[in-house]
Amino acid sequence: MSLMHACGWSSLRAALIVLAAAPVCVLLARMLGNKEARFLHTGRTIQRLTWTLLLIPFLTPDLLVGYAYGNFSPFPLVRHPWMSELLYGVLLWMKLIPVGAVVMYLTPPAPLTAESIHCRRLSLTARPKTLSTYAVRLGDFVRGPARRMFPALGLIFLLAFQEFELGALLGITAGRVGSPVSWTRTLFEEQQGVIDRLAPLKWTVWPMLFNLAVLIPLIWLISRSRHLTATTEPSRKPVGRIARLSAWCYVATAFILVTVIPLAYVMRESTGGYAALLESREQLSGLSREILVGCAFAGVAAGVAYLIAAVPLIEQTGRRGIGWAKSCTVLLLVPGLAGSLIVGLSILYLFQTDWLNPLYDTPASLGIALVLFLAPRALLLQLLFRAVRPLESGWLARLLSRSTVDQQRQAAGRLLWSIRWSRHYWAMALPAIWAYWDLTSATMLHPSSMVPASVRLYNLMHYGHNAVLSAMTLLAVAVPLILAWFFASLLRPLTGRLV
Amino acid sequence: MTAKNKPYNWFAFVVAGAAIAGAVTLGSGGCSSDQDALVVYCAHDQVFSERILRRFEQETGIRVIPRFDTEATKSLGLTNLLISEQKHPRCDVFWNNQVLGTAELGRQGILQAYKGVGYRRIPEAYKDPDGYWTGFAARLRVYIVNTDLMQPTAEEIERRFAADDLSRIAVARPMFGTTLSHYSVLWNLWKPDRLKQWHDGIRRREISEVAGNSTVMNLVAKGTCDLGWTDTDDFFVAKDRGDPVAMLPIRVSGETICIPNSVAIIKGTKKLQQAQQLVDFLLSAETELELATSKSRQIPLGPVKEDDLPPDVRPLQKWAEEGYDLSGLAQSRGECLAWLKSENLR
Repeated sequence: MSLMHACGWSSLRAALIVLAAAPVCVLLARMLGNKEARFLHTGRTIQRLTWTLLLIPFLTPDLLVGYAYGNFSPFPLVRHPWMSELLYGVLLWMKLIPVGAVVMYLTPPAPLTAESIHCRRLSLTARPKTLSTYAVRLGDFVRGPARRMFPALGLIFLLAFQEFELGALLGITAGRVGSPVSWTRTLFEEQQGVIDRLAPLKWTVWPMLFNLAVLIPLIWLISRSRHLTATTEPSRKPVGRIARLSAWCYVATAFILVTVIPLAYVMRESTGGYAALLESREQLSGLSREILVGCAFAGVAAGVAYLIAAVPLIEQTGRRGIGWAKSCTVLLLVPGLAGSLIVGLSILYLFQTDWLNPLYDTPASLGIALVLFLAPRALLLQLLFRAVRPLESGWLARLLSRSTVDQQRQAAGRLLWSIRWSRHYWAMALPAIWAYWDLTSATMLHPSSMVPASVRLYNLMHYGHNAVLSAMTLLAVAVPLILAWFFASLLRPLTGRLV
Repeated sequence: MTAKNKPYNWFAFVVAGAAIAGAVTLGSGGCSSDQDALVVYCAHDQVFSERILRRFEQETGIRVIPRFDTEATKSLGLTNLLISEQKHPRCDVFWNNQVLGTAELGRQGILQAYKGVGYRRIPEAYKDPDGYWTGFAARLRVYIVNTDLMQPTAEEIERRFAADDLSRIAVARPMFGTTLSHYSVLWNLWKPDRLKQWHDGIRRREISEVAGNSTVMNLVAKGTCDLGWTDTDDFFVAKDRGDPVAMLPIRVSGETICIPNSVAIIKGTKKLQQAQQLVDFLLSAETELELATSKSRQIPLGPVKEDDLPPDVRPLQKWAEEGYDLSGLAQSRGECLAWLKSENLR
């Protein structure tokens, strides 16, 4: 299958995932935004539970899911390619719905409210139904409810289109009729036996076009929605019982399929592995080093990406150079939109040229690739988090922070952490977790002496399952999560002192 | 500076400080202590090769930084990387898990000739006459059979391959690894037209093509497939696990397919002496014996005491002696790979 066809197939899969995800995302976003629940103790508990159960499947690393389902499956996937495609599609759908739901929840309301659309419809009923009537209705839909949906669904499309690791571990291969195909795999196969170093870059044109077809309208919409948002949050329709039940069915199924089954399977398998891992000091120290290398790369890249993404969001203050800085950083945001494979190939090529070769086997190449890959995601997260403007509580907390009493100032700091700064922290922590598990750039670009944990695990996972590998996988999953939690709890009281 | 901007500033300051500190740590970790280390690109299974490289470090005091290939892209990924790094090599020694890819690198002028003590103990059939690469510790291509599902006999295998539905037979994708070497042998022996016809036939009858030889082994061991093509080292993983498997050597025109590891020095290395030490170490009888007694049961090609060999390896040595001559197959491999690519990316 040619690269163009593979891109077409991958985009079709991504589009189907988007279509299937849209109603669930809308439902979940409404559940997350249930204001009444905030004032009830049980409601708050349910909200917390919903958030937790919803986000965990998305944060479950693809490597863990692919490892569990890749070699262990009750279905003979290899003999029925459509089953492989179905499993891949379902897992991707379940993993990406949380992204859509959260983005939809955080996206500011559209300027065209449901009430105004209804009024317009009433005014149109008197007119004869012509093409222009439908065009007006479509325009209203695009400026109204769709404005809230497009960023979320566009992001789901991009993530599904660019997915690589899960597919590779599930054995997504081309070759047989009905076999699942991914453009990433086809591009990778195109490279075999090719001596021309520039050739891989030429092949990235097709995937880039598919990416851009979604990205350009998406960026335009997001940038417009900063200025065109309703001043007040419209009242959301209450979620009906059946709809609520359906949403909970999704949440429970996704949690079980994407997280519990892989985790339970790997945990059960790892029971004998910890002792063996502890006995083999060489292996344990190697893994620890690789986990730390992965965390260091991820942390640094996420920090830099956060700063780069923050520049275009600086309010114009008339200071010289701000405009230039913004233009330059916008250019830095573009390459990452193509996904980590295209970024990785480009950086590999650049660092093999005479000019950049001195830096080839240093952390610079992987670091830059990760920053470029993360920067647009960081911008998106910051846009979304900033779009949720601090409410009255934020202003009150700021007033409290000016108090002369130390304890009050510290309490204000902690409040501000919850209201405002925790969003910035997670706008970095989330990309850091993405970077930690990003295998594509890491495999191509890691310096010889610095192997991130994901690369070693991915390599070992192809040999099948064993207790030690399962124990190693669980450790690699746990450490960054513990670190993210640790830094969050460290920064929370720090905010109180610094305000 | 307004009060409103103040918190943004301290947050940005903390982030920038952490990023700089991390970058400095990464930079110093990557640049300082590893300058003298030997960079080894290793396509052989990490689980087996890592231990040997660590032993080399302990015995010689020379630090080794290995870069491993993934199972799915076996050897082609590293071979491509070496080609792309030709102008500015960072690799010093290439330990490939087969010979044809290494021979191709030799043809492209990427390798440095070396005929040391290790080279001299390996038979002529398994080394480059000019010393650009040397083979050692081989594997055989074998049929792996699930004994709960079928009889492990040549007749039964032949009958299964002649059936209309091959979905219970697994093979690794032929564009990679030892399956590519296998196809290259068939390309050379059968000639292209016959191989293409045969390949179309097995694909039409829906043979299961999977990512790598270890996946083939797992599918057969678990009973998802009845039989498949794999290598002896993968077969022994299943056998050691207690899975119901048996093996038979794959024969083409009566000859087996014996695929040695190979080692070569990269031209332009700045650590030639250390690289030569590693090559001699890998080609030594001790290393061949260690690989033979490891779980991968590699077949020694140089002289070793037969008593030292594990019982599993002794019959393999006899089959290896009947191996097809791979020395002139570099061109067939290139042609075969070009055809396979055109087939897959059509």
